[in-house]
Formats: sequence, C-alpha cells, structure tokens
Amino acid sequence: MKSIAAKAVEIMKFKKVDFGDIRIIEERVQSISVKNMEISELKDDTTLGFGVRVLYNGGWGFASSNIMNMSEVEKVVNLAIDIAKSSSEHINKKVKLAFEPSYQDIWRTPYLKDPFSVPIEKKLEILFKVNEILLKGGKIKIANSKMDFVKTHKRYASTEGSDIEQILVYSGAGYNAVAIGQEVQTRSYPGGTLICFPWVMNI
Amino acid sequence: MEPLAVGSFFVFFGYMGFNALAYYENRSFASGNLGKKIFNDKLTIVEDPFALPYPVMPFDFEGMPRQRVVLVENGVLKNLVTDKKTAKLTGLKYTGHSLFEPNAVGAVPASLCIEGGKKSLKEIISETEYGILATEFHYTNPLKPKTLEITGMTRNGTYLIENGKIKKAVKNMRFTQSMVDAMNNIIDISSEREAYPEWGQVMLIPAIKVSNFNFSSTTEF
Repeated sequence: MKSIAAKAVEIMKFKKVDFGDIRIIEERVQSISVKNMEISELKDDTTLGFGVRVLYNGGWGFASSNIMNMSEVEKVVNLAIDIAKSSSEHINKKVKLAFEPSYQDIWRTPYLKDPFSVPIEKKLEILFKVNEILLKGGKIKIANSKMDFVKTHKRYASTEGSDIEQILVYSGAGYNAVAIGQEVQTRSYPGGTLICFPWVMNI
Repeated sequence: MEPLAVGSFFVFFGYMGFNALAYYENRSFASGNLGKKIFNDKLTIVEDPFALPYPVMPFDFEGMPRQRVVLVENGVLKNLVTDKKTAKLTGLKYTGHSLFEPNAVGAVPASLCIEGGKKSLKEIISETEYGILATEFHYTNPLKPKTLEITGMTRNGTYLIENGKIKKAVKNMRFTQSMVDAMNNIIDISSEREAYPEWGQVMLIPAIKVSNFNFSSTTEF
C-alpha cells in the first residue's frame, strides 16, 4: 500500500497537478446468518482497489482500478490527470481548494478482540443458540439470527504531504422472530445497531 | 395505474407470493389457495423468460434451465416457482428459480409477465367516467405479506379523469391497499405492456384499471 501511494503522489507532483490524492482501500466483510436452524448466509468477501483524484488547472479528474501494481498506478494517475485537463476546459469557474494542513497519522479502532480472529464455528454456535431460543415454544415459525463484521484498511496520501493510515473495525448482530397465523408479524432486536464483538457475545 | 405504477408493487407478488418458500412457510397469499380462484378472471400471469423483449439468464443459480410457468390463469392460482429445496419441501414441480445459495429468501420469479388485455390505455381512459390516473408509485413497501397490503406514494404525474378525459393534475397521495383485493377489483387491463426491471428481475407489465382503490392520505405537493 505504502509504495503504491508514494508512487501515485510522485507522478502527480512530477506532472505539476494543483492537487492530487490517492485512497487505497482493502475491505473484508463477513456475513453469517442462520434461519430455522439452517445456515442461510455464510459470506467472507475481501475487496481491494484504489482511487485517484486530481485537480489540474482548476478541473477535477478521477480514475480507479483494482489492479495493484506500479504500471497500473501510472496508467490510472495519468487517466485521472487527462480527465482533469478535459474538465478544466469545460468549467465556468476554476476550482480552488481552501488551505488544509497536512497530516501524517495512523488510526486504529480500539477493540478488545478482533472479530475476525474468532472462529466461524464459535459465531455459528451463538447464532444457532439464538435460533433455538426463539423457536422454543413453537409459536415462532421463522427465526433469523445474523452477524456482520467489517474491517477496512485504508491508506490516504496527497500531494500536500498527508499520509494517513486507518484500520477500522466494526461489528453488528441481531435477530428477528416471525409469528404466522391469519397474518404475519415480525419482531426484531436490535434495529441494526453497530456493536463490538464482546457485545455480540452477550446478545 | 400505468405500467410503472403496477410494476412497483407487482415485484412483491413474485418475492412474497409466487415464491414456494413463502407458500410453504404459510406467509403467502398462495398458502392454502393453490388451484383456487383468488383473483379477477381478467388476470393471467405467466413466468416466462422467453416472452421478454431481451434475453435474461436462461438458467438459475443451481444450473437448472428456467421453465415457463403459468402462475395465474383467468384468476385461478395454478403454480408457483421453486428451487431444488422448495420443490422437495412442497412436492411442487422444480421450475428453476433458485437464487444464489445459501439463502433464506426462497425461489423468486425472474420474468413475471401479466397478460395484456384487448383495449389500449387510451381507450380505457376514454371509458372512465370518474377516476385517478397514477403514472408512477414510489416508496412502495409491504405492510402485510399475506394480503399483500402495500403502501406507497404516487409521483411524476397523478391525474383526475372525468368523463373519459384527463381533466387536471392532482397532488400526490399515499395509498394503503391489499393488492390481492386490488387484483380482484380489476376492471380492465391494457393491451400495451412495458418491461419493468426490479431487483434483478424483469417483468412485463400492462396498465391496470381497478375499482375501490384505497388512497389513505394526501400531500401538499
């Protein structure tokens, strides 16, 4: 990530853009659901890519890719610059950015436990247990329980000298119960709140 | 209701009605009603991937070729769509309508086609003594799955029809209406149909004129 960000900034500076930045984002999303004591969703996706934003002669340009190598970075930065040059010829008023100091920093979501370090079996065990409780008594015809986990690793670098790395983690969990008779009624908890993993364990 | 208005709620007929899992779980209007006449006899609905004006995925996510399925014929509920699991659960024919597995949704039609009527929309309007012409609905959401009670708003043109003519525009309104009832109150279905894409499926939808449609509130715009 670091070398790709540095390369993009180097090219943008060499091409003398007014302003340019790059965001590289790697995101892992895990979704697990259990419905009526059966796994109904088991997904673990990772996406990785970068976007380049350029201001050239007062016009904006943007380009992106998911191919992570140096020649692709060069191609994408040049494309963003070409688009910025074109847009600068078609605008009434040139864009001028306000002053913003540069930052070199790193931020990590503080957590007690990385939710991705918890085995899927453990998560499923909880989801099955919730299903079991909801279905007890026989009045609930459909029980759903669900967990979602997201980890985003982001690197940002700009021609102004900012270089910021972020590792953001969040978790969510919930369940619903559906009673079916003459009509269908659903109750759920919670309303899609984001909570950390120890909390997930307590639901 | 013009095709864009009908399509916005008709997607729920597929997802919550003709879905064999919803039927099996007793949360569909189809539950307990297969083979019965539950709609107006003007209504015929066919799941037909070959009737659309452009190609759709010819097989489902389990690799099964999508079958043409007559869902409703002259108001009688004939068949439902199934995937491998729901065909086994219900004993119904396997029709090739799975989503990606695993999922908790069930089997969903991919190309719902409502059969067109004989009259054009223009003729239907000219025969309307007093009525509302809704061109589009939005924020269309289900309240009660079994009766398909749905609420939503009109938008992009709602008109008053008087003595066969569009008299004037009216302000937008919210409707709250059982669409199973509405499909029983059909007066006419237009001959022209429009392709309506929604949630990965494409439907072929005519304009439908119904009586006793319940508008539940008004707006200032």
